[in-house]
Amino acid sequence: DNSAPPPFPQTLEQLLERQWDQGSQFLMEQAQHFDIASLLSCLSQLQAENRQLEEHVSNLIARRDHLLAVNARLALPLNSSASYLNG
Amino acid sequence: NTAITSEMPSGLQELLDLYKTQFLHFIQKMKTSQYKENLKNLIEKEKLRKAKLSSSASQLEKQIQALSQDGVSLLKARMAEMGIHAN
Repeated sequence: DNSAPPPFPQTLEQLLERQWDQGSQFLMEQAQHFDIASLLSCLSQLQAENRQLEEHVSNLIARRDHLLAVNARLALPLNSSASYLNG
Repeated sequence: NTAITSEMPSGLQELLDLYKTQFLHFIQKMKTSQYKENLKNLIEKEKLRKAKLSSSASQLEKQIQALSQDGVSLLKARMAEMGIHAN
């Protein structure tokens, strides 16, 4: 195409990221010829979704454990708490 | 730009040749039916993991809902001990 090439990377991180992106794109273009591009895309999407799900489950576990702790304190009668204060 | 291309830093040509060899080797691998089967297996594995994570999240959400209700009941009981009746 006639579009100008992207500017040169200015940082080391940009250079390495650029090469990763260009390498990935090149391999996906090759994959189109071998009928596996859709499999690669599907796998990549599933992996991303599962990373999100894992984080969601971690948050839910933390919330459940917090509620368990709060309920354990609420389960103590007040007079027993008061006896602690007086004793 | 011309200066960059004319003065090839030591080792850069070897690095580029290494990249080329690695890409060519991997493209050959991508052409095999074994690679395609491996992708399919990985996809099935991620699908199972997704189902497992979704099930865990669902169970945790139910637990959290039950614990929240328990917490409200416990709080009302503690308030009743203080003579406060919240219905």
